[in-house]
Amino acid sequence: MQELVLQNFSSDKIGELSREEPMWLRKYREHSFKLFQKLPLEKSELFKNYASAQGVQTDFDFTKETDAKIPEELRFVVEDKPEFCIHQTNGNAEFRIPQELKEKGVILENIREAVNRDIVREYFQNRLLPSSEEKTVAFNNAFFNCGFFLYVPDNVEIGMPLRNSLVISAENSSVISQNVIMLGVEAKLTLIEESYSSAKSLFSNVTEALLDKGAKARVGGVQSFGRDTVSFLNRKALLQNDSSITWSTGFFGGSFTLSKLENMMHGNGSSTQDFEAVFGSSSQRFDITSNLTHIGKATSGRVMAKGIFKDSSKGLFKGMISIMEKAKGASAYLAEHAILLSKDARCDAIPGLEIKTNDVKATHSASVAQVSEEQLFYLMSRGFTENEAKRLIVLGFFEPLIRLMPLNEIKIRIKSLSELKWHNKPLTQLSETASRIWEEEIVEEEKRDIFEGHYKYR
Amino acid sequence: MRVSLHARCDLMKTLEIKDLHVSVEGKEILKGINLQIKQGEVHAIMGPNGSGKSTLSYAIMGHPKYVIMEGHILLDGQDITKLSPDKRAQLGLFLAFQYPHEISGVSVFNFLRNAYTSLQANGTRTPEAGTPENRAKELQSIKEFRSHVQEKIKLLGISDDILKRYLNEGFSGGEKKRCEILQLAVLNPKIAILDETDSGLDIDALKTVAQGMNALAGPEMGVLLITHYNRILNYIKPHFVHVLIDGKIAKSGTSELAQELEEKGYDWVKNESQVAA
Repeated sequence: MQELVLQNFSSDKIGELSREEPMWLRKYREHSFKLFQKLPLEKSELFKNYASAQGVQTDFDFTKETDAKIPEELRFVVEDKPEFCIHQTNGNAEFRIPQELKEKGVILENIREAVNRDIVREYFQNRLLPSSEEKTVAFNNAFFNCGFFLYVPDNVEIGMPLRNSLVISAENSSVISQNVIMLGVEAKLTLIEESYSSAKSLFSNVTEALLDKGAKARVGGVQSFGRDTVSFLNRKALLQNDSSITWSTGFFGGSFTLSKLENMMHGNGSSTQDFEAVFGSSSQRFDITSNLTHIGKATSGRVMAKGIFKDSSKGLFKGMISIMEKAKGASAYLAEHAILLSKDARCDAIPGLEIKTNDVKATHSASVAQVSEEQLFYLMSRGFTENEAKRLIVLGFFEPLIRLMPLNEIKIRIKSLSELKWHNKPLTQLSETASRIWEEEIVEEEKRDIFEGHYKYR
Repeated sequence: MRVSLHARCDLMKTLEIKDLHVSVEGKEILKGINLQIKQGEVHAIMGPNGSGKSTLSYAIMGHPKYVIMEGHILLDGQDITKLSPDKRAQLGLFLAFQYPHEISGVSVFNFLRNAYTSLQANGTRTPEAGTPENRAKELQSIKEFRSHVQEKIKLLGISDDILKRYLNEGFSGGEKKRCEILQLAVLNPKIAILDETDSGLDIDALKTVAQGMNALAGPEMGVLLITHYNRILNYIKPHFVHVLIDGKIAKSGTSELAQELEEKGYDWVKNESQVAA
């Protein structure tokens, strides 16, 4: 497929990359590279219509460490260093973990060091996202140059969130990260991620989460890349009995974003939720997939994805509910809805359903609509200008989705970023107060957050 | 009492409708309406289905689909015929919708505050930067506004659970109508048009809505009450009653006219106007 040629990524680069790595990894990378060359980027015709990578720049360099300067407006990201965090700036990574967590056996380290551990090496042989899965996964597996390994032992509940922040400021660079998260029996984790860029760049990420029995994870993230960043995300979770994971993601930046999330509910009684908010403007393109795979009994999965598309931005929402033979009593919900704000904006939403057993509940819904003239008239009759009326409708469209997200910090961030997008302001201007549309809720959340001690609203 | 009202009319806002012809999708619905509503007056417009009652209310508020072919709408002498709905609202017009629209994700409270702030600032407000001082001021004004709303809620006998719900989403017919009246109460317009606010209400809801309207409609507010049935007129006494038939006002009178209509039906007016023509 001609759509994704990354000419600067070659087998020579793998040699360079794996000079100090174990032999098995070098072979693994080479094997992945072969698959990357072979696999098509995307088979769907719809992809070409709605989210085609045609014209997306791909002449990124393969980047090693770089000390590119961080621009002033992004200093706030690198200057804030909580005690449990990962800081990735260009090729440089910093990891911080409190002593008390180390003593409990929690491991947080650079994936490139973690590959020397038996547990990681063994995992790579039979992983959730093997290179054969997808072109973008094969690419990542071949070239990953950063990322983290997190291991939380049985019965360890981590109260404070792990913060993972990324800034890309080196021109023409690439950050290819691979994250492996392993949660033991009844372990608990909150992960909050944010990503920014100020330069033409490529971001590729593979995240795998393995949740043992009764483990609970909440993952929240906002993608606020600059306008010249291409990103590929592949995330997958495997859930054992009674474990649960909630993903809350906001996609706002970048020129082209391809994201695929899959939740494999293997264990009986496991549950997953995925909330995704996408706000496109100018010529941005987003291809968002979220799949629910029900394998165990009485599993429950919910996906809600919403998109707002301005200008000539385009989006494609895909999703598949798969309920396997043994997944009796499963319940699944998949909703993909979008609003188009201009005649050049486009979006399609295609939820799918595949059920191989009975005694299940499964619902999917999809819609792509424009702001209705009647709604506008109703609001304007109350004194709102046409623009203000649209703003209410559009930002209100996200509200029911944001309300379901479990992390207040992420809620507030997504609200502020949506407001910034609406006003065509840079995504780094987070000090602007969030909208009056949400002020009651924000006031309440601010109050609550003081008690929870998680407050980090910039 | 009528005399004292008229004595003050110089200071009052007046809605004047002059020879108004309105068509919808190429079809003429209103065929020359003349009306004058002053602050402090309650006018009722009655008429059979399809006579153009709702068209009149939409046209006054400026719905883009309702095209004014001839005539003028003046508010306090200013020609508003070509103004957009938001401008009309800022000049003091309000329309309580027959079928209010759902706005998902915007709570009634936040909606009211946004609308109130918009009207106050003539639609020019810009969000303030989040400095701590501004934030403190904001919080204070939210508090004050909340008590303002609570007052109205009590007056209208509405449960305050409504404030947290998304605007009209999942509301029953009665709740939607009450929410319209709550908006009217909070935004406090000069001239309020009520488009069949009574339809779809059970008798108890009708009573609370009417009581609320009576409490609101003082010398400061002019009311144009559009209704199909005259049962609401048992609770709200209009100063004037107009009968709209086939896009024209066929008869005007005082509140006794409503009584007469109740007894004789619309055909009586129809026949009478045919005779006159």
